[in-house]
Amino acid sequence: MKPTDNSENFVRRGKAKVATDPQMDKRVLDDSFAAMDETAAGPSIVRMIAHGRAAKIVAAAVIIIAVGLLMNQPEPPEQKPPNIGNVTKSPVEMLSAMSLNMAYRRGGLEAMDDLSNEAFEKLGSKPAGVSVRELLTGSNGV
Amino acid sequence: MKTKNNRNFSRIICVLLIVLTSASLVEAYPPDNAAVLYYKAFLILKEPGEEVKKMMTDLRKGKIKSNDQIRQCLDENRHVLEFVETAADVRECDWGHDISKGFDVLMPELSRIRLTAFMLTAKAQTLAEEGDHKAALGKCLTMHKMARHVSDSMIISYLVSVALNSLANNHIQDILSSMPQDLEVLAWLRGQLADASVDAPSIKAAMEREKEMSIQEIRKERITETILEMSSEDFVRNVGADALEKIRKGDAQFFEDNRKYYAGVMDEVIAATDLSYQQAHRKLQTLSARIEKDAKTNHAAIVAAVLTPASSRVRTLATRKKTLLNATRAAIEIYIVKAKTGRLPEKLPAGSPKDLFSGKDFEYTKTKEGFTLRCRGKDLDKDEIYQYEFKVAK
Repeated sequence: MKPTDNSENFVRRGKAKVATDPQMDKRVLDDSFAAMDETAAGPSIVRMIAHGRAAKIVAAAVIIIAVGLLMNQPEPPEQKPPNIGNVTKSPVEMLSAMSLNMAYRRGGLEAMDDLSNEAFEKLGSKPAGVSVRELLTGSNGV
Repeated sequence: MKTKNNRNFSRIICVLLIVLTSASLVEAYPPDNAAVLYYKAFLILKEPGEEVKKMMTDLRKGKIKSNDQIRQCLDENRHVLEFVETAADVRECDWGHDISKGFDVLMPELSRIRLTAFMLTAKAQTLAEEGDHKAALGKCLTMHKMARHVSDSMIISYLVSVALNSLANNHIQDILSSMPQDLEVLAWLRGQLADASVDAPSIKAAMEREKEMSIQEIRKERITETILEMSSEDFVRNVGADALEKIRKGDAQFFEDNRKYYAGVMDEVIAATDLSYQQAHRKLQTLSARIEKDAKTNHAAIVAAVLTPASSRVRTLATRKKTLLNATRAAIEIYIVKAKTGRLPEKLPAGSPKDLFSGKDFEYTKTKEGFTLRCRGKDLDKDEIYQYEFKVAK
């Protein structure tokens, strides 16, 4: 019979019910402290772990997981050079010669157009019909 | 008798005064500043949606023909185009730039003028499809006039004007390829293009203004913002991040030294505009390398490394624009020969405008569909030789 079966039968037969009392507790504690003292004086815990087969497998798994985690870690954002600041601009500032120059350097005249369009969009829409007749109609003849 | 003379004299004076005062009440139209009309046009501009913008791009590239949506957009903006065309015929154009603001001067007109130019090309294309080639060519000439108005007040505006000239010439090339050889129209176009090339914005003026404006910017109170904006990753990589720190901590002497160095560099750039393309390109490339090298060891060169424009590239664009104009003008001479004789000439007509990449005549070759004009010198930035194809409509 396997050791695990033994243990299960032992519990199933009710032999696991152990009566305890203060004396028993003291004896158990004394044994535990004695065992701990022996451990401190004997081989190191690290060496013990390192010598166990399961422990070796666990350690290898931990190392593999750690390496995996490090490899999957997203690269830290590249430090931007100190000169380039993402200055938030107002739509009007986006239409300055400086901003347009910068846009041109980034992507030519198309980039300049895009920047200007963004600025105009932020500035809001403009009237599409402004003939005198339309303006008079809009003011209800006042 | 004397009293009568006096009374007549008084009457004449009164009449003259009335005429003079009433004349001042009559508003002159168009105004003598084209910018007023452009700004009016931009106020009422109905911006096309992305879909129509894409269609207009495809139309410009010859991928599609004009369609209802494009026509509707042009119709909705017909007053815009009228204002722009009237403005283009006005001699003077003052956009009201406050140059004292340096690089902070606002230039909202640049992208609007490009958008209206795109509409004009769509209009030109539509007119050409309808067979009204002279009107179509007229729209292209309007773009040339707009380019003159955009001006050479700064490098960025100069580049926009170069793009407008090129857009106009590309379309003239397309229209010439599709229209019958009408001597009257060709002679008219020849005259108009000769006028367009007289007052075209100049790279020299643009560089001079850039120098003037940048020198105003090279001051402790202005420079940090300017540098933050203009210094690129390339600059940091080539010159070093500590260069920016030197600028931030620079004293009055530092900026004085930098102003002097920058002024010297720009003088060399401006002088190079008078050289042939190949000489200028070589000189500007050498200059650019020298500034970069100096900036690593000489604190006076640091600001120049940031602010000096990519002058060799700008020079190439300027040469390309003028060469395309010259090719168009040379092509008109060939079409005129065809209109007169019924046949394409065997060689390039004498006195035809030249290829400015090489300073020589274009290489003229007859093809099955028409003819080509090929440059003899390269675009040294792209290592490419340009060739312009013209068709002859049957």
